[in-house]
Amino acid sequence: MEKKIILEETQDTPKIILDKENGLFEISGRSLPENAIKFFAPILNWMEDYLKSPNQLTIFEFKLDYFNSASIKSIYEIIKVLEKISKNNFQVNIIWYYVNDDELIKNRGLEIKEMLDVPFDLKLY
Amino acid sequence: MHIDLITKFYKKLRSDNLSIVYQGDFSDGLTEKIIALSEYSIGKSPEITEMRNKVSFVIVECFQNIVRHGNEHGLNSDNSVWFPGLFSARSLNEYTYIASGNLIEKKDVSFLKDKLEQLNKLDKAQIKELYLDLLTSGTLSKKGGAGLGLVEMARKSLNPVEFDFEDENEKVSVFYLMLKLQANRPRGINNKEYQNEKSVAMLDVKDIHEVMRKEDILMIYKGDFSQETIIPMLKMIEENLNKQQEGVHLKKKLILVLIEVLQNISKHSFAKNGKKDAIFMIGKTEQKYIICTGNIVDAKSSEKIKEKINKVNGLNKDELIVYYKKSLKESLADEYNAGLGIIDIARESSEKLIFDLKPEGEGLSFFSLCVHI
Repeated sequence: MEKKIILEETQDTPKIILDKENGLFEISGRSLPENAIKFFAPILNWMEDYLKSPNQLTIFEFKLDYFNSASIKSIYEIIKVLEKISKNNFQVNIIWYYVNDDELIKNRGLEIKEMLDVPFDLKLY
Repeated sequence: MHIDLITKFYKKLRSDNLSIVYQGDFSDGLTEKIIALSEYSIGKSPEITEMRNKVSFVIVECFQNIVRHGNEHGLNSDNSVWFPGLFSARSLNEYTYIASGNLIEKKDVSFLKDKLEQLNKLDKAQIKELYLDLLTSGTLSKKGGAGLGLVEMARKSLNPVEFDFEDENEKVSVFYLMLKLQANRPRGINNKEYQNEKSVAMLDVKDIHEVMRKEDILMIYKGDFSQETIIPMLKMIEENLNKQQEGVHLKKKLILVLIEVLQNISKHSFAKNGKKDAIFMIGKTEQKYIICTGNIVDAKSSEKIKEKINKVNGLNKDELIVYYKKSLKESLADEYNAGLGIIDIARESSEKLIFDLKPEGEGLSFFSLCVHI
């Protein structure tokens, strides 16, 4: 599989770290690309690959300020892959961060947690 | 703000390549974003570099003018703003009009008027001379009024500086200033031919300003909608919200709705001659923000829009969450994903979505949408 993906945050795409070797998995910042499917395609491909041979423990952190509706669909798909990994008896822990009073990001996270069967923590930061 | 206002402004600004009219807080960050927007609209080809630089320069000068001269008179005793400064940039054919509006004390009106009239009587060489004079001898007034900045703007413009004063109350007047810049250097322009009539562009600025004040509109943008213009616009409004010290929750809701409505235009607008020409407005009344957009759509989109908005308007907040989750689960196949966006907007809106579709001929319609937050 592709070694790792590290993307710096731009003004409309988030920071992404997918690093199996060091056990780092993170999506953070603002995700507002016009064509989110295109932007997230390599990320989803990497995840599908990772599903075949995941680490014993995957801690995946989401620390998003803003996302558009196009991005949330792709984020949902990423979390669905994590659900599959968890069902294959590997330990998965999703941490969805939100800032104080940010009901919007908190609630969107909560809804995804309710929709999928995977360990999912909401954390204030 | 009535939804028809967006149609009215769109018609008025229809021929503009770009219009930005803004009243509110003027920070340095804002200058930068407005320059980014205008540069995008003017274009990036090297032959218009000079024009672009001039426009940027005049924008900066206008901003400084507002900041230097407008602020203290527009404040209430509790430091709240009753008169925010006005800035306007319009690009029409080969011309760009940059205008500002700020308060000045009435006792300064005749001084400023004289200075501007004198300035307009000078030809190019004389303006240059005056400029060099000022550079070495310092400014004309203690605050630099009608000083170096104005003279430098007149030099860049090559057109007479247009101005007007409007009585505000017994103490202050609104000082409107407008510079006209053109892409092709005019030949044989003679400033002495300047007639003391107000141009249509100046009357428009005053007219739009009056409506904006009456309706509490913070910003009007009309022009091309692409990711390159959406991002600076978002940042402009975000900075303004930070200045207003709005709560995190309201700020997030506003930005989310803004992203969705602006990207919706970018994705679904009908492109005439390769351009997705549309209009956007944001206003604030005491309790609420209102975001309005207007753009051209084809017959097929028109039907989809009607169906989708009527659907979300028929649901209460809990039903919207159920509908949102259902749409989220659906496949990624729908590339443009219009369904989820409109649910997002409806979820954050404090009222039902208000929309209108007006026939434009050739099977096209003008779609306007207002969202209260």
